[in-house]
Amino acid sequence: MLSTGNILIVSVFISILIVTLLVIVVILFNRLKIARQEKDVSEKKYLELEKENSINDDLLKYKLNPHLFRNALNAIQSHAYQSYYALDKLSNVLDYILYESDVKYVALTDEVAFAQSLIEINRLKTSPLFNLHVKNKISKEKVIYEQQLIAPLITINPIENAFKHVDLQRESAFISIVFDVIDGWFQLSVANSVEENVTTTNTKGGVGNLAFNKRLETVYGKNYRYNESVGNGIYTIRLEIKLLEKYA
Amino acid sequence: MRKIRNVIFYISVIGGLSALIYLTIYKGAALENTQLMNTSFDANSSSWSHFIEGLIDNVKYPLAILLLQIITIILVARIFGYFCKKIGQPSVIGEIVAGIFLGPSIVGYYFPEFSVFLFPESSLGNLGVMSQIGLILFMFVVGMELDLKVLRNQAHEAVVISHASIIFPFALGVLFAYFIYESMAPEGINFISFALFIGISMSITAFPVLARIVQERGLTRSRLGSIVITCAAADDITAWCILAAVIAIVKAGSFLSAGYTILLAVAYVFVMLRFVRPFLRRIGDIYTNKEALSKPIVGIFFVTLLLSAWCTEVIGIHALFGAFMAGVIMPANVKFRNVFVDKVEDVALVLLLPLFFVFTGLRTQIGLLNEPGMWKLCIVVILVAVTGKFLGSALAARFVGQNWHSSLTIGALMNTRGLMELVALNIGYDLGVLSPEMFAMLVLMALITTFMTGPALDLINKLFNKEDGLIVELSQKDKYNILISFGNPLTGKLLVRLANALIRKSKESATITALHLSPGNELTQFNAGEYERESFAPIKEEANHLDQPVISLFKPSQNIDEEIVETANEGDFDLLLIGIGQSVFEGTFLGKILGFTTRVINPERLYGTITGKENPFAMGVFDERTKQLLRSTKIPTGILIDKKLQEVKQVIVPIFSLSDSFLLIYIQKLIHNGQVKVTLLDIVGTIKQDVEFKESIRAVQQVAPDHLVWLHKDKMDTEILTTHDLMVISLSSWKRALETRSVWLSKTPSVLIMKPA
Repeated sequence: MLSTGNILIVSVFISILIVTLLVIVVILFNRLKIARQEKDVSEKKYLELEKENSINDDLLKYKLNPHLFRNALNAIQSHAYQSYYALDKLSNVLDYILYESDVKYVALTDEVAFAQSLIEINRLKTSPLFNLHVKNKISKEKVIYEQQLIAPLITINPIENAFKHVDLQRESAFISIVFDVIDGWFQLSVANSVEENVTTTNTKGGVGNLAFNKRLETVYGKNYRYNESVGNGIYTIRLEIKLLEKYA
Repeated sequence: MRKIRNVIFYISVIGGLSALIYLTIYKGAALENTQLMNTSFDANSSSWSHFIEGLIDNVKYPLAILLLQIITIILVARIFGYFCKKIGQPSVIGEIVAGIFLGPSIVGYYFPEFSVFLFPESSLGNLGVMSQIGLILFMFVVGMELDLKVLRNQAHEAVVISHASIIFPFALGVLFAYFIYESMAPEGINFISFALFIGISMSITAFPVLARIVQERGLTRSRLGSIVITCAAADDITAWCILAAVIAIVKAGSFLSAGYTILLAVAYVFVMLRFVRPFLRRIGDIYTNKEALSKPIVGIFFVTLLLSAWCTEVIGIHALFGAFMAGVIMPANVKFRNVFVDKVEDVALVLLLPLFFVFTGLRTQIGLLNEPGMWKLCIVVILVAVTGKFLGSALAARFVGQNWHSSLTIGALMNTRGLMELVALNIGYDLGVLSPEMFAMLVLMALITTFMTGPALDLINKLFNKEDGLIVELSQKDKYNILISFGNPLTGKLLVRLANALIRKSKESATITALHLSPGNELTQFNAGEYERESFAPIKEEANHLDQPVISLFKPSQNIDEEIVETANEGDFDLLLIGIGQSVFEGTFLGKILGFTTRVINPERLYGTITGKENPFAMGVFDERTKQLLRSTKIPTGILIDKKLQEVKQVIVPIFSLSDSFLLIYIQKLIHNGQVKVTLLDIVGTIKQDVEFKESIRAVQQVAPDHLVWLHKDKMDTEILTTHDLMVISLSSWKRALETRSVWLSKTPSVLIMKPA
């Protein structure tokens, strides 16, 4: 038996309940939204972290770059080859010294070949880009080229000298070596760059040079000219030997 | 039928009329007076002796004598000139000696009859006039060859030297005249004329002879040479001005009355420079090429020359001065002067000038110097002349800042008096200022001073070379020398750039020589200089830009290719670079393959290829000329095919076979000197298979890893090609690529094709 008052109360209550429910629903909705957003953010973060981690993992796996190894190998191989090459030339030089030098005179062609081997050995000291410039202007057709006319090992001194004195550090450094025969004179002219301030004083000395000049004197007497000069950054040696039939 | 009619007509007309003429003469002889009969027809003398007499008469006729004189003179002058050339003297000396030889000094002394027959007194007038005309033409040429621009270039030093070298001997000469005036001056000549004339004759330099000596000794290109030439030019002008003044003074007899003459002369020069010169220049600009140089134009110039000479003659400073002036004001256009000098020079120098020498020789009586006193005086004259000129110029040059070697060389050269002196002497002799004895002495002096130039130069060089030995220098042989041969100056410029990339950092031990040959050898001294300047201008500019010294070689040559090969093989050169212009390929099949498709194919050439006359692939790699060059050079040679080469920074080098390994030399040079980045294209693994080749490349890579990239390819990669400035390839690979008509050829950048020695 509901009275009208009761009905009122009930209706009020119900309405209050509905309102409350609505409020609750709204609040919940909001909550859900926020939660979703948070989830998104954290997922993003997680992914980023995930990425970073994977990179680090790769980095950890990387121990040694094979290229480095390859480069090292290249360099070593290159040096090994150069050494082999130089040894080869050196054996030529030794052969020459062993078998040719007891003769009083050798053919010009052999002496020049020997000098060229010598140059190749010395070349190891320099960079492959170094400005070394060897000219052999003796025409191969000349009979004089094949005759036994020249004392062996006569070309060692000037060539060794050039490689000893050259200032490799300078960019414009050079060594130039020219073999030529003019009017029956064999000419070897060797030039190299030296430091600007080198004076003429310390060049004439040296045991090697004295011995060398003595040897020239005894073998050729008046038939040779030897000239050394230093100045404005250049050191030149000119050796000229008259090739006479009587030597043969 | 017709022929017969003609014959009948001919016989009847000729025969009939001849008969008529004979009859008339026969009848006409009867009309003569008997007194007139047979004075010349001597019944006793045979007709033969009569003919001989006639012949002798003809020989003595003035024109016949003149022609005979000219023939003799030219022959003798040529012979003497030839001998002088043989002993290394300028041929002018020979011609002067020839003149003296034909004159009373030798031929006249030993064969008087012959001399009287060939040079009778009556004929000297004609000879004199002819030689004067020759001189006028010659002075015209000298004036034209005198390059006024040279004076502007380095005027200060040269003017100081040249004026010092005039005033010094002039003063000495005047002083000398003071001592000999009483004994040597002709009657009725006042001291001032005599003194001035001796002074001027001591201070003349022969520009033409000097220029020739400088040229023969190869000094033309050197700084010293250009200074000397400039000095001589300034000397020439100054001396001529002074001479003109002296002539005026001699004629007028005093300074004051000569003033009017000199004023007139100055006015004349002013008119010539201000009015006549622009007028001529305008004409010259209109007619710059030979085809258009028509007779009327030539006429205008000759009239100008003659008018000018006439004016000066009338003014009273000798016609030669006017001729010289006319030469100087000719249009400065090279081509123009060239044409004109060509026209005049041969006639003037070969035909007429020897006449002048002989004319001088005929007046020179060395026999007059018959006593020791005279000879002593002659030696004094020579000493005064040499001291004045030689020391004057040398000291002035030293003062200006030349070293002793150059100063003495300048002195020796300026001492050359040659024929200019003779010109002045003859004027003096004509004016009566010089007695025959004095004239003979001064002629001898001119001869000896010219003669001593060559030996003096040799002596100076010898003396100084010993001292120069203190300065250590590499000889050409010790260096790495690149020879560049170019026709087109722009190609030359590119080649200099390329050569510089090969030797930039080895300036002390490497040289670049640029050779330019001009066709023909008709270039005169003046024109050669001008032409040379024009051709070398772009090269000089490039050289300055790169700070790279370039030695320039220039000669006219009859056979250009042979000359190039000879220069390359004979000189101490280690690499020859030549260029091929695009024009060679344009319009050919080859051009199409190489990517020069800018023009339509030349139909004629196309026809040639179709008919097999011109096969572009069977060795048709280059044109005939280049092929010939490549065959005959004994040194390594590079040929540049230019496709708009800008700079040499990225170079690609394809290696097709083991024989290409010689390219390494140039790769090393490019990397070391030019900082070039080189890409090696190892086609089909050639390098890999050869230990030595591989190792040399590896060695370079060790020291310059970022300058040498080594790529392995099975075939040419066209994309890589386009990113480089230049491709360096061996000749054999290039030929093979062309024979197989490789597609990549059209994609190449500029190409440098290398042939090992």
